[in-house]
Amino acid sequence: MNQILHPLIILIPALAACLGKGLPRQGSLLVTAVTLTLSLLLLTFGQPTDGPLRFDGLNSWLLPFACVIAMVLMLCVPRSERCPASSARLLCSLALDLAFFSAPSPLALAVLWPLTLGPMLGELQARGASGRTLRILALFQGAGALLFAAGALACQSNGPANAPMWAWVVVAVGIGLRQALLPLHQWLAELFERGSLPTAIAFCAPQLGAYAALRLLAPGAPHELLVGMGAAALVTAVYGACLACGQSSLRSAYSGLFMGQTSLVFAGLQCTTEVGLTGGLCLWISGGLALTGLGVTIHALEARRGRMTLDRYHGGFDRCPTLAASFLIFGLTSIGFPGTLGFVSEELLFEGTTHIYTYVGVLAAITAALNGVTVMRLYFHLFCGSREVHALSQSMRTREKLATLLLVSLLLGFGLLPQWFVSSRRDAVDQILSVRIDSGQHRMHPNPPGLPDTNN
Amino acid sequence: MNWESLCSGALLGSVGVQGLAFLALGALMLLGRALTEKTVIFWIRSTYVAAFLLACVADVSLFASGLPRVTVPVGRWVLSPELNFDFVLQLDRLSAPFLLLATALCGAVAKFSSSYMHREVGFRRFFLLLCLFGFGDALTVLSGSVEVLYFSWELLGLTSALLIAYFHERQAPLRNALYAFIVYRLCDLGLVLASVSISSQFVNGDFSSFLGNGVWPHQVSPLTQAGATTVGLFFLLAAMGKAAQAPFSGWLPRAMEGPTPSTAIFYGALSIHAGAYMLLRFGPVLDAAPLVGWLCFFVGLSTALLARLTGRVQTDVKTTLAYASLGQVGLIFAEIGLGFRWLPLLHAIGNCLLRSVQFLRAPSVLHERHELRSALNDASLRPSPEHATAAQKALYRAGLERGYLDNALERWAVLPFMSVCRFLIRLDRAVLRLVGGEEPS
Repeated sequence: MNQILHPLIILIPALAACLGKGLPRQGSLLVTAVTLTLSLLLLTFGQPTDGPLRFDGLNSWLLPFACVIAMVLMLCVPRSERCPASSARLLCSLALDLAFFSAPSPLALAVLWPLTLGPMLGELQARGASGRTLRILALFQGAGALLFAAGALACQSNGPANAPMWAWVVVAVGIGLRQALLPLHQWLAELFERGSLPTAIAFCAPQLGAYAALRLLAPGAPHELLVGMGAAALVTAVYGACLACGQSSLRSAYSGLFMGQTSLVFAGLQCTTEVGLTGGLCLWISGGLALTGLGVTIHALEARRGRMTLDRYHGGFDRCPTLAASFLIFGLTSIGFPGTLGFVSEELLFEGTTHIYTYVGVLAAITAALNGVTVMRLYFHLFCGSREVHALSQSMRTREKLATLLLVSLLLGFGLLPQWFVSSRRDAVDQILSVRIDSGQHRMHPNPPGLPDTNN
Repeated sequence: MNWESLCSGALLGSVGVQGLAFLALGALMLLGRALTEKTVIFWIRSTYVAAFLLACVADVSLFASGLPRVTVPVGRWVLSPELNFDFVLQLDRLSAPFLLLATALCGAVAKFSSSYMHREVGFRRFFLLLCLFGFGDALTVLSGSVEVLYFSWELLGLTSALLIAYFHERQAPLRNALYAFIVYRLCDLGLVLASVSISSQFVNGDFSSFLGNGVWPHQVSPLTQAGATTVGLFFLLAAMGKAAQAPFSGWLPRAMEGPTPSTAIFYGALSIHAGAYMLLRFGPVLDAAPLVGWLCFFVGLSTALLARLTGRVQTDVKTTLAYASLGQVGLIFAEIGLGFRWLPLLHAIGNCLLRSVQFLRAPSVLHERHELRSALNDASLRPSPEHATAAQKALYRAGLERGYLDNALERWAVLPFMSVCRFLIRLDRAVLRLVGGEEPS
């Protein structure tokens, strides 16, 4: 099954992207739908394998996750922005994400890393981004790719067990650049503020940096480095939440939310306990989907009203109640509101981070609280506060409704019945920790009283 | 069928019908179905009649069974060796009267609102949120684990904020709703941290694990004094936020922006008493942590004094009633802090009923008073001028300024925080200028 499905999942969007302008009007959507279906088949029937295309518990959910993000972005692109070249770049980005998630070794990750920058930079250039934006992104992301490649090469040549500390640190800095960790985060606001929103989401939501960290750092990096990165991620999360609270620009506030949530995921992934890691893996999916939903809702709103700021109330609730409700649902899911998939994920994450970091772990809860305030503030400013002045209809189109329905059903469905999803993520955690124990880097953490000691 | 299974079924039914009503109404509204007022009213009335009757059946069967409590495991969200999130409901001597109260009051307010909200633009939205609130309150009352309590607690906060912002075309309700939501959200950190703290010690957050298995209010918590103090402080913080206790009482007068029926049920009755209910539920933790008990007493007493002072200088009837309600909730907190259990329970139920009636009657009373004034040519009801002393003037000013607590919070917490946020934004922009050059115009 794997030998047929897995290559197809990467090749189909890659070949479609190569067609470029020759792609039929609805072709890109069809290709994404087929890729999503194949990835779901692989998730259901695939067997773990270590071949040239790796498939295991860790990436089994990430393949359909990347497809869902691409699908939602395809569905929600406004007519005015729909063009074959743009769709081809999105498909290329999807193919590269899927290849990254299937990479068999750190070196393959290092090779694919700079390639994933191509569609993002190409799209920005095609949409007329300023030289300053391109310069900032190329500098931050180019440096990240270089550092990761250098570190990965050093780790690979010496073997993870004997890799020098500097190599791990270089890898960590490279990943920090990609994940927008403090103090290397400034590019994120620039991308969201100056670039196109779908491009920014397609680049950031899959969180390739987090995946690279799990594949390279988690198995062999020293315990102190992981704890340090986790603490840095928690501080970044609060920093992002503070940025979002103080912004008067909608895009920047959204980028602050994004930064806060992706950093929380990263903090969870750096935990060396089962609960924290499970929380991180769950939040990766739930947060990614929710933030994608929130982003496309903002994009849909901007397509109808133009760029919006938060220094005044825009109103219009009665003209677009469904859009407002979608915004609220995605926003609340992203902050872990009860009844959504984010709730279970954040609960697990809080447990994990406070277990490892005790006092610093509280920052995760503070981030969620501040982000909640930001979501509510955005909701009030974007949809309420003034009498209706917009003459045009602002109701959702069928494609947007489909995308919203897909995301809402996933987030609420798994939110109410999360057992299967969490169990599968828990299995992936066992896989990560067993590799870490084999490499001799796992540091025991005492379990709560009354629990079997699973560390031994 | 024995009494216990009857009780379990009725309990699930009472909560379930409210949840289903919300889901059905929400789904139809999302799909853009134009529901008439008659249809909505029929649904809501049927829902609350059913929920109340089922609550009666549950209560009667609980007492007939002679059991101290009936626990209903609804499901398990997460099952792993490290952590369980059990969705458990429980009915006992504390939750039984509150469940009846909650369903009865929600039903009464729904009936009142069906004519009060007639032809309002957001008629359906109001009832959707009322359903969600009813569901959340029933879950709060019946929660059998910290996770379920947190789940329902957040629902109460969200519905409260959305109903304060009900008249969303005006900006003042939005600002006030956001203020209330911020207080809720920050105080709810207490519940999150309590949940984490309990789960790290007991694998799951079932009440029986950290409150003991005895009969309420005679349970004995297995927590150590230090553990109970930590967890108790977290619970107290969460309760203070929801119950508008000092220094978090600033959101209460702001919450009066919402429609009168929702004000009645939220700030006259159920929502504002949810904090007291939570402290009654976690009484064993307070018993094991005398420091938290005393803190609860002082918080309650100071809130009661503040509410008395502030309530006397208010100029609108809803805010005066809200402060009257708050004063009583403060006293309930003080009673809980002193170790009473039955007294605050009766006090809370009595206050809920009285304030709900007062809030719902307030518009009619005002109307009648206007008519009376017109009939008497306004003379006999006009207050006579008084000569105030300096102390009275100072107290008057303090009352008008709500004890200066809002100003203090704004000056010492909000403004510094916003300054830090803006500084961080400027810092980031400076770094970007350094790396990429000046921003394009």
